[in-house]
Amino acid sequence: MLLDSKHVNLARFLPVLVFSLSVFCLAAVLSPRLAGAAPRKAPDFSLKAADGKVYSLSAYRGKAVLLNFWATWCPACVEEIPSLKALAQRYKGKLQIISVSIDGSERAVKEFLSKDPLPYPVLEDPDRKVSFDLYAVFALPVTFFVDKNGDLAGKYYGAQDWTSPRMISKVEELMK
Amino acid sequence: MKLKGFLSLAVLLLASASFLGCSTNRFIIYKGGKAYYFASKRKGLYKMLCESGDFKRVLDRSTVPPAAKRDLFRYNCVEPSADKVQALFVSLTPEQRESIRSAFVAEGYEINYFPCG
Repeated sequence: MLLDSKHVNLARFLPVLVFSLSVFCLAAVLSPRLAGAAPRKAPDFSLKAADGKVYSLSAYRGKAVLLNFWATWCPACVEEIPSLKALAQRYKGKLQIISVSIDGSERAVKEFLSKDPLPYPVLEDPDRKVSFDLYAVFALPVTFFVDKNGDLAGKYYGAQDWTSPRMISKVEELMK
Repeated sequence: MKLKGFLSLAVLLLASASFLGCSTNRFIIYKGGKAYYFASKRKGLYKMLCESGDFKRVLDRSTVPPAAKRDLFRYNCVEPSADKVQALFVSLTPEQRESIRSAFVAEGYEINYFPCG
């Protein structure tokens, strides 16, 4: 009789134990911070922009940054520019968009911008030192989220609609 | 019913291909007027990069650790696997990636990216 009641008590606690362990494991997988893993710093860099000035990523510490890698010959890259412009306008002063072109041709970028000026810096990475070496970019477009602390907070491949509710929600999360 | 099933499968495969096409994370290499996706199973790439000895020279010039060199060679020239190559590249340090890029350039290659979509 005593043995039976002990087993009954264990049987009652077992589902709670299993549930708690599952929640912990799920949290550890979904949240690297909880698991103790340090967030990765966005590699700093300095590049010359189409306007002739040099811009550094670290100069924007304290502000949320959208780092967009693109090229004028990449249709998907050009396709997402209108929604990036709309995003820049919507969150002016709160979000910094930085565009990095891997064109390799200053002329191509200047020609593009003369027809379609962008309201954010357009940096040039002709040697792929930033895109290939630092950010391991192999396909375009790709956008990295960098939070106010300079940590990488997201990576999105392919053209995005930056004005969609889904992306707006992600951007607002980044700006917190 | 069969046609409906086939169409559903085709749509699913196309959707997967679009997704994978953007997330395969491979670059394109050019030499002598020929271009190939890195780590593709194309015979032309094998001839250009592996058979010629170019890739071995690229790896020898680079600062990639020996184990990673062996794996990069294996998954490009022996058992091509884009996924494994992607994982290897992303795991390298920026300095190691820079050394591979410079080594490719020294061997007469140009590197470019493929556009998603």
